[in-house]
Amino acid sequence: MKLTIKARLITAFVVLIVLSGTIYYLGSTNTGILNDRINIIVDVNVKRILLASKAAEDIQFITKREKELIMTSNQNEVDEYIEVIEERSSEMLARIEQLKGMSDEKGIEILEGFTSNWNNYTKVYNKIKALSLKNNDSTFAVAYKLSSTDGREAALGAISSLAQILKKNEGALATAKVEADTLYDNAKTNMIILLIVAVVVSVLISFWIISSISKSINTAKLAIKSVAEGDLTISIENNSKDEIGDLLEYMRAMVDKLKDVLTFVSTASDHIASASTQMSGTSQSMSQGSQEQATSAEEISSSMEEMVANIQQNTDNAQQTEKIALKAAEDIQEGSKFVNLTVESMKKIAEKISIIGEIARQTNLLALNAAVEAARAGDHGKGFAVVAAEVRKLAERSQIAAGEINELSSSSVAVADKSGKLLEQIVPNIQSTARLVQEISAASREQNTGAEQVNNAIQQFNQIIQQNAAASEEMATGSEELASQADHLRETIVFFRIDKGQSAQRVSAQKTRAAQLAKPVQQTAKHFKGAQLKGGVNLDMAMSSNGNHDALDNGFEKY
Amino acid sequence: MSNLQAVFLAETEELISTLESALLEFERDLSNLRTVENIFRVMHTIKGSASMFGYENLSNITHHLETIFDDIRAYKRQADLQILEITFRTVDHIKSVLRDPDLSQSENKIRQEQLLANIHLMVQQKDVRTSGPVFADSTAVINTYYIFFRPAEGIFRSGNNPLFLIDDLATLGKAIVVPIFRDALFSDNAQADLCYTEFEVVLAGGMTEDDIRDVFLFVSDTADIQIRHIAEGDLLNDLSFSSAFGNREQIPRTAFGYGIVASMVGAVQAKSTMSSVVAADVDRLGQSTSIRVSSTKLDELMNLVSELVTSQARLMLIAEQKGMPDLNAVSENIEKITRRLRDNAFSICLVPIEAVVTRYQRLIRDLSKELSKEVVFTTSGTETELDKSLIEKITDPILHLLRNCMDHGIETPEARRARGKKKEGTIHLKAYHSGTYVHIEISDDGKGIDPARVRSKAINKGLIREDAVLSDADIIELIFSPGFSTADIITDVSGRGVGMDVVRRNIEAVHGEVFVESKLNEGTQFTIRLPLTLSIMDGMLVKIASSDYIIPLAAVDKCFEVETRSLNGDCSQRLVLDGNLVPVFNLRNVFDEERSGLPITQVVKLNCEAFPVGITVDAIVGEYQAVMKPLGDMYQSQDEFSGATILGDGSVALVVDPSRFIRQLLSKSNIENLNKN
Amino acid sequence: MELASAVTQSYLTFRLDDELFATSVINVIEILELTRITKVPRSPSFMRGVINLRGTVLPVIDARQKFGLDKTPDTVNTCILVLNIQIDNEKLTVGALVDAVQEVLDIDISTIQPAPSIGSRYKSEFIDGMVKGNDKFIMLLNVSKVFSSEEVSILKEGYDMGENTSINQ
Repeated sequence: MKLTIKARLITAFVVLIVLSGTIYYLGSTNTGILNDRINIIVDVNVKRILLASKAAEDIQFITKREKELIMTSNQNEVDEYIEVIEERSSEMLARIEQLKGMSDEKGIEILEGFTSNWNNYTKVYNKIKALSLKNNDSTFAVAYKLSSTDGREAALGAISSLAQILKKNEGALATAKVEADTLYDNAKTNMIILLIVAVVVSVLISFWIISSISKSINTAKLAIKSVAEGDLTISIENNSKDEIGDLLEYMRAMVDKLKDVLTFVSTASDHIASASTQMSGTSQSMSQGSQEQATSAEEISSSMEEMVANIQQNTDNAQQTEKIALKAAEDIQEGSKFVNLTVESMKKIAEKISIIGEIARQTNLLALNAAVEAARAGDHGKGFAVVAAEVRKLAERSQIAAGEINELSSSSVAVADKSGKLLEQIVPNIQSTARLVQEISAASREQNTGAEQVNNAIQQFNQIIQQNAAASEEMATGSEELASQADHLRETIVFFRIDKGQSAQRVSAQKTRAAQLAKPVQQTAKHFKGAQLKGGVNLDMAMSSNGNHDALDNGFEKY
Repeated sequence: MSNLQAVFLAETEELISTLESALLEFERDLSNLRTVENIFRVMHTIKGSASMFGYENLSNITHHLETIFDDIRAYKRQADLQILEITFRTVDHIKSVLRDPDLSQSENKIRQEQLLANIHLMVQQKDVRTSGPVFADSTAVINTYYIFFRPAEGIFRSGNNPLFLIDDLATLGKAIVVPIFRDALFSDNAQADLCYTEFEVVLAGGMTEDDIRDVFLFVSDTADIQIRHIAEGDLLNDLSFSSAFGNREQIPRTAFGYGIVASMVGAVQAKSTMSSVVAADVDRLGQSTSIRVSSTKLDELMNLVSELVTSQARLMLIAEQKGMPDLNAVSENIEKITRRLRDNAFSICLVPIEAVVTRYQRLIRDLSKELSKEVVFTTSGTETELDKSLIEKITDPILHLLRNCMDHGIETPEARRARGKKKEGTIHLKAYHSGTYVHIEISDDGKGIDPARVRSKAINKGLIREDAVLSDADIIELIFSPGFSTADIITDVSGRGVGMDVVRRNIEAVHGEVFVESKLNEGTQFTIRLPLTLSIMDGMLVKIASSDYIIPLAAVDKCFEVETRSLNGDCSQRLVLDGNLVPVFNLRNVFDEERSGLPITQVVKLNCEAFPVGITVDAIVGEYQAVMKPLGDMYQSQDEFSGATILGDGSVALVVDPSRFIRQLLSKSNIENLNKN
Repeated sequence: MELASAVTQSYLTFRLDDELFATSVINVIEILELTRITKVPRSPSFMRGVINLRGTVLPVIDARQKFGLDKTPDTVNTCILVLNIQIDNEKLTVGALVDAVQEVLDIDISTIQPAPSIGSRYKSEFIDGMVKGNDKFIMLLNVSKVFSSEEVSILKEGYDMGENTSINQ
């Protein structure tokens, strides 16, 4: 069975508490008994005495008043006396009744005797009272007689009963005093015995507890001391099954665990060493990548330069084209207008020609008229007739010519109309072309801004490459640091002895290897720095090629 | 013949016509010195211009004739019928001398000498008092007296009325009476039975002072009478004096008195010697306000006005089409001006019939002498105006009719007396407007036309067969047949038998008609009815189908609108217009056009002789001034159209002759009705 | 008519349908273009109406109807010949509506052939003679007779296609 220190301490205290409780119980029980005795004396006996003496006093008062009642002749006084007497009598009876309640059998017997006496007196009194009320001399005498005889006897009998009670109770008081003295002596003896027992038990328990704890703690102290000195080879003995035992047990586990950890750290530093070797390789390849990135960025930059130039060209061309297209559209519209005008003019010409035709017709008619006139004039008109005939022929010819012109003009009106319509049809096409070109121009402009953005991106990219270079430099220093830290770790771990001096040698060998690995990393970082610088210059050149543009932009912003 | 000479001739002819009418007037009233004045002045003008143009003979004879009238004017001699007779003959002679200024024809020469001798004789006889019929009981001396008459206040009580005395005084000659109311008349004490009025009278005439005193014979004792001779001659002729004397303040309170009047007379007489010259000048000026124009120029003016009216119509049309307010305003203005110009031109061309009446008077005067018939020629309505060209065309027919009246109508005084008529026959010429016509009636109270004689004559001449059944009216109509003459003796006046048919033809040539009515022994009446077809007239332009027509505005009574479907397809139907049942002719139907497609048809109510007639038209375009153009002989049978006119757009509108048109429509509808029945 | 062989006379030729006619220019006053003709109601149908000839009213006769041809719509060539004709010694001016006016021809009088009494559509009294034109015979018309004739058509009885009414009912 495992008795823990706790359990042992609890047991000891429980024993001590039980002993002290027993002592208290004894004391309090005796005092209680004493108290009960005193209470009975005060509450029963003393009160009986008080009540009895009061009742005796009342009887004396009543008898005295009875005498005065007999003596007085004044009616008013009579009534007053009667009233006082009867009031005092009832008071007295109430006291007697109270007394009766707390009396023992003997007492009740005595009280019955009192009651019969009092009843006798009451009968006498009632006679006296009736006589007194008649209030004459005869009655007086009778009353007096009664009072002095029967009344006196009854009253004395009652008082004696009361005196019996007093006597009896005074005896009870004396008995009670003796009983209390004995009780006190017994209680005093019991208490002393118990106290001695308790002291002995306590000393025994304390001794037992102290001896069991100190041995285990000593063992633990020794173990901790050797661990602090770095000796982890100790073995911890443990026989106790209490808490200290547990502590020792855990300590042994801790040392074991510590041994494990140190072994792990030692292997881990080995791992770190190999990892830094690997890191060095990665740094190298990273440096190489950066170099390639730099060259690519250079290429991109120059390509971008070209592209920007091309885009600029495109934009310019598109704008030019747009202008030309718009101009063409306008020109064609103008042309179409002119064609329309031409059509109008031709129509007008046709009209005019028809007028000419009409005129020719009328001329013809006129010439005919002239011919008629000339013919009527006979010989005188001959010459004129010839002229008229000529005119008529001319008119006829011009009529025919007018007809032909009319036909021609109507056909050319048709042609012009058609070409006008065609031109009108072309106009929307050209307009849409112009619109498209406009869109292209807009797209080119957008491209331009896009290219600029790309340029910006490349710049940012360059920055990132630079950052990358810096990072790989840092990484190199980091891996150096890591190697030295690993050395430190090894040095620290050497402090601990796990398997008698093996571990320290291994750590130092690893340290040299880590130092060797750190060198090439530094070289790559240096090389990368050069490439990075070069790329930066290239970018600057790309930027300077856009310098004009920037200047323009600046100028634009100034606006 | 130079232009000036032509002007001279025309002027002189007119002067002669004026002279003739003045002479005829003078013949009626030989005492009218004003006429004498006129005659003298005209003669003087003729003489002056004749000598200026080298018509010496004319100037010579006129000069001598003028002397006679100068004497008459100056009261140096009395006018008598002998003088008149010789004057008329001289005037006739002057007419022939105008055509033969050098007296190349012997008869003219002889006549000239005879007349000159007669005139000389006449001039020398001036102191010899020949008892002329008119001046027989009157003195040639005319004096002007001033009379002041203040009756006694109580003149009424003596039964005399001063006003009667003044009236008596006024009968003696020309008088200007100025009553003067004394102030007492206006006082509160004035009594109704007392006379407060005085009279101041200027009296001119052939009376003597004694004649005047005789008037006041019964009151001379009580009244205050002054009679003073103030001037020789008729002072009242002098307007300045008579107005100065007569036109005083409204009711003068005080008399001028002799002194003032005498001084006024002095002033007037001093002026008159001077003003005789001025007056002549004024007269010249008055004449110069009217100028003579040759009728060809007038015709040209009318033609131009017609052209203007047509052009104006065209302008109006264009203005309406263009819808330019300014152009419209101008066009309207031009329309107004054109209308006024047209009316003016018309009034220039319109001549009152009076212008030719003189010729008729002269004719009748001459004929009555020649035929020894006593005739009174009266005229009425001669102020009726007719187009100059129309008058020219009817003058001869009327002349011929008058001649016929004189010759065949009026009997000799003996025959008339035997028939119980007045010995003087009466010929009355009456002219008046009636609707779109001018009527000229020539009536005589002669023996009338005897149908029996006409009939037998017509049978003789082979105009009718013996068994022809004709009414009297029809028979009388035969006198218009060619080659008919009833006169037994062919006189140089009429009776050559070429008269009446020519008369009718001439009148019909101007779209006129001539009717004759006659009652045996009571008289004959010829009526010439001339359409008032002016060369331009106000018409109403209406449309029927595609054609335009002009209805003379004078013939249009009222226009109505009816729904086209209320018209049946017949030519005529009766419609209630303005509460009266009126025959309405559907012209689309009458003109063989299709029925109107318009919902509303216009009905024009025309004034017809007997009763109103309605005609339907498609649209009433509006008032239009129609320049009349003849329709031509090709359309003689379409005489319901009195002509045509050129519209503003150059197209032709037909002018309806309402009465002929209606007559045709009525006869056509009658025929239709007959056919229906 | 003069007999001298060299004597020529001027004729105005005009066309109705396909036939050529001619009239002596003596009768022709002038040639007018077709204008609006105002119809005169209730006149014979060959009387086309009246036109405004410079302010005077000129009656117009439809030569086609007179020559018994169908009524055709007027064309731009339709002309009005203003003719002086003689009726009962009275001179009269009328317009004749013809399809087209051709020319003024000087015709040698000797070449004029008499109108054939047989084989012609037209009554001989209206035809003064015939002359050979380019490839056609030209009828020389007596316009006075043609247009003063009260007959509706100048066709011979056999050819008469118009209504048989006269101008003056």
